[in-house]
Amino acid sequence: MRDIFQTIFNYIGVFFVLYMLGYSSFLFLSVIVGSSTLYSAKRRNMLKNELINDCYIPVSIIVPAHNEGVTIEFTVRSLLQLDYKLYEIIVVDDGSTDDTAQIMQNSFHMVPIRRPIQRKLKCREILSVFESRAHKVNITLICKKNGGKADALNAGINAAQFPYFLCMDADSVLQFDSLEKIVRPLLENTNVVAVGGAVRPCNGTTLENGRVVHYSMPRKILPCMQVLEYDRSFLASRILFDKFNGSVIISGAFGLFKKSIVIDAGGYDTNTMGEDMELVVKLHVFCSDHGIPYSIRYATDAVCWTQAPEKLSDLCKQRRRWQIGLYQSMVKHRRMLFNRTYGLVSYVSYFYYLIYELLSPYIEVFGTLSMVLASALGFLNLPFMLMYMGIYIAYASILSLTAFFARIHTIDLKLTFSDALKAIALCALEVSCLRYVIAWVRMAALFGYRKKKMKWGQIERRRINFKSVDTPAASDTENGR
Amino acid sequence: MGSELVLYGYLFVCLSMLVFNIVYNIVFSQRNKRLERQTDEFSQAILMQMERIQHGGQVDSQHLALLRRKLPHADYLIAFENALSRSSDAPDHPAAVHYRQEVFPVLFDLAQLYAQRENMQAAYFAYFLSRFKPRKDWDVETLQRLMVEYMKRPSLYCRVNALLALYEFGSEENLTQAIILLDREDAIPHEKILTDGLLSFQGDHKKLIGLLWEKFPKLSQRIRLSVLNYIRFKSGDYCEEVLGIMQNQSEDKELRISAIRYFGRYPYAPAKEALLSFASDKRSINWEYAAVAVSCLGPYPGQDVIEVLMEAAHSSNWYVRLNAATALESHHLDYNDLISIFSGNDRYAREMMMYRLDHKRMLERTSEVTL
Repeated sequence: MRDIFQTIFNYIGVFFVLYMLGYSSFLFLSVIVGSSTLYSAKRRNMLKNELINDCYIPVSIIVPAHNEGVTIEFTVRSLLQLDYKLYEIIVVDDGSTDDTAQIMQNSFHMVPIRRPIQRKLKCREILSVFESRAHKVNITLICKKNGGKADALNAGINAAQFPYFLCMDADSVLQFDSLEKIVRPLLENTNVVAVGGAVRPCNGTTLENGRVVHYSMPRKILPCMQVLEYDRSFLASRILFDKFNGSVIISGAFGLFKKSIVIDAGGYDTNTMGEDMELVVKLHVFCSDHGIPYSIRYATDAVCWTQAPEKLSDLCKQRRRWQIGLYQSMVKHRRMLFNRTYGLVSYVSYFYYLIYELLSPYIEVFGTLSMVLASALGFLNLPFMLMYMGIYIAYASILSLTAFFARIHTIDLKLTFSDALKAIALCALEVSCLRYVIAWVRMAALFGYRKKKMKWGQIERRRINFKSVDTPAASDTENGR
Repeated sequence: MGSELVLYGYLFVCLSMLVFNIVYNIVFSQRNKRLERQTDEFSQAILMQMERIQHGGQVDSQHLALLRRKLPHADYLIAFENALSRSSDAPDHPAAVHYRQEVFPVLFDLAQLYAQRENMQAAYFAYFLSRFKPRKDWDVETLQRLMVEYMKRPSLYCRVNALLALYEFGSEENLTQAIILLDREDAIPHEKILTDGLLSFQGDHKKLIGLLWEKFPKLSQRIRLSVLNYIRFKSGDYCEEVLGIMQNQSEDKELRISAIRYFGRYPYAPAKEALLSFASDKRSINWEYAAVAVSCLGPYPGQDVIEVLMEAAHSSNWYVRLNAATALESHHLDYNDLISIFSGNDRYAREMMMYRLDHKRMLERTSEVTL
């Protein structure tokens, strides 16, 4: 009996060593490629190797909003500060039960208008449309019955007047030059059908007219660790996958898409929680199946600032949603796996997301349980295991720090000494503790999934510290409303 | 198993990367400070030379020697460019123009030097030239020819920046030559880059259009589209020629649509018949022609135009209906004229007219508030 256990634990050990080596190699490659790409991009920008002349591709910015009364005014005001000439703003109020629509109407002098909207994509009933021409660009407010974020985005696409649309979250702020930067890949290559931008947590950051005037690490530990996590994932996997047209995720908080191809592909899927990932995977499938030459790009210098959840419960809700979205997208497009039609996206990106994202929480929890069992049965070589864990934590922490500092340096943010120390101190905690908490949440996400699959869960909203020339700072008006 | 050795190896490389990060940051912040200091020094030197010029003097030969010595380094060139933009708020001020004219010969040697450098530096030099704002009457011929040479390099940014410089130089012949070269190399990925660039050309647009039109039949489809879009923004003198493109069924669809738009901007009586024909075309395959033609009929008078637009307002295509409603609005018809739409059975046509009516009211209200 003992021999059988010994053999099983040996196999488990071999599996985990291979699994960890695979993951470490991937992280290693992606951080090295990501950092070098950022540094060479910085040098390129310094030497003005960029498209500088005024080429403006018209863009419709779609902001789906459900009970975003706290943030919507400031989000739209920040959009009015963008350093870009040709765009429109479409806010889709997705059946809010708070005063989102009223705030929009009062703040932006919006008037009701009987605008017929072509139903190119299915969406729930549109109740009313408001427009305003009193600002730098046209603002449209669409009030519709609640149908979820994907449904709101589809309604926004139907109303969009321009050939490209940008989707974003109502609690995010675009940096002043983000639109200009995110359209550049379209000018460089006409086959580009989608471009993702960089999303950064803004907790602790002060923005003025879309410019960062003060950057510091968040005061609370949880968002601080998320800053490290965001940087690692954005710098690492996204830049690496971009090298071979293999991006399968463009964050719902900041992505630009070619409208016609999205409509042809069927728009956002209203039956998934991860509509952002599902759309990108669908575009890969659609273009490959129809022989359409296409490219999905990642603009490292186009920045969107978003709020990282400050409470563990909110973070858990968010990650649960992401995990379910990932599961739904991967199951829906499962024929992509090891399918020659889809090339490297199938063999590398899809496979990576399957093994190291979707299944990783199960594998990690299984690993932990195996260790407990092996320890109880006296099979565990404790010193070796601790050394192995130690090396891994040190390794992953250094990778996180490399990604973090590379991002800070290449986008010209100034970091204080204490913030640098904070990052160094928290990276090991993030890798060794937060990662396992999140793994547990992600694993549990699919339990009872069928019952709760479309429940988003409420996450506490706070206003981003954004100041604009015509509005007082967010915190100043918080009490004055 | 040795796997920990692999991890140790990775750990070592990552540590090296981290050290690189830290060193890079230190070097970069030093470099920024140095750039700032160099910019200050150049700014002071430039101001001093401009003062000399204002007092009737010339640029000091030592200053020119300093520029010859330092500007071959890309960092100094960046600092010099920063200093130039900092010290001349008004680049057309006589002293600033005089200064740039005297410094201009230094750029010949630099242009040849940077032509030998890697693409990134060559692209930066081309950008620098575009910012230098050389005048057409200076001896710019050699530099322009060099810029055309820069355009042969396999770098999009080098080509685009060389084009920027050529727009600033203002020579119609050289720019035309550069565009032919671009066409041969298939070097411009998006037609908008060329159209928007041509609009910033500092020379004689009429002459440039004349030269481009001569070459037009030999250009590729993409460049022709860029050129025609540019002509649409700058000259209404090509109605007859553009009419030919619009009516030629063997021409590319995008080009013909651009030609239709031309007649929306420059009403031309002989084009009216063809526009009406496009607008009346109900074949779904031709909806784009119909939608654009309908939107261009606003400035054309006549009952026949109104009849076609009223018909188009009932089109099964959403865009044709929207454009027809907009064009009808610009004919200033009253409610009685449009009663057949407002009280008709076609809900889609009625909704579109209502929307345009609401839209008009909203614009009026907005302009009242603004006034």
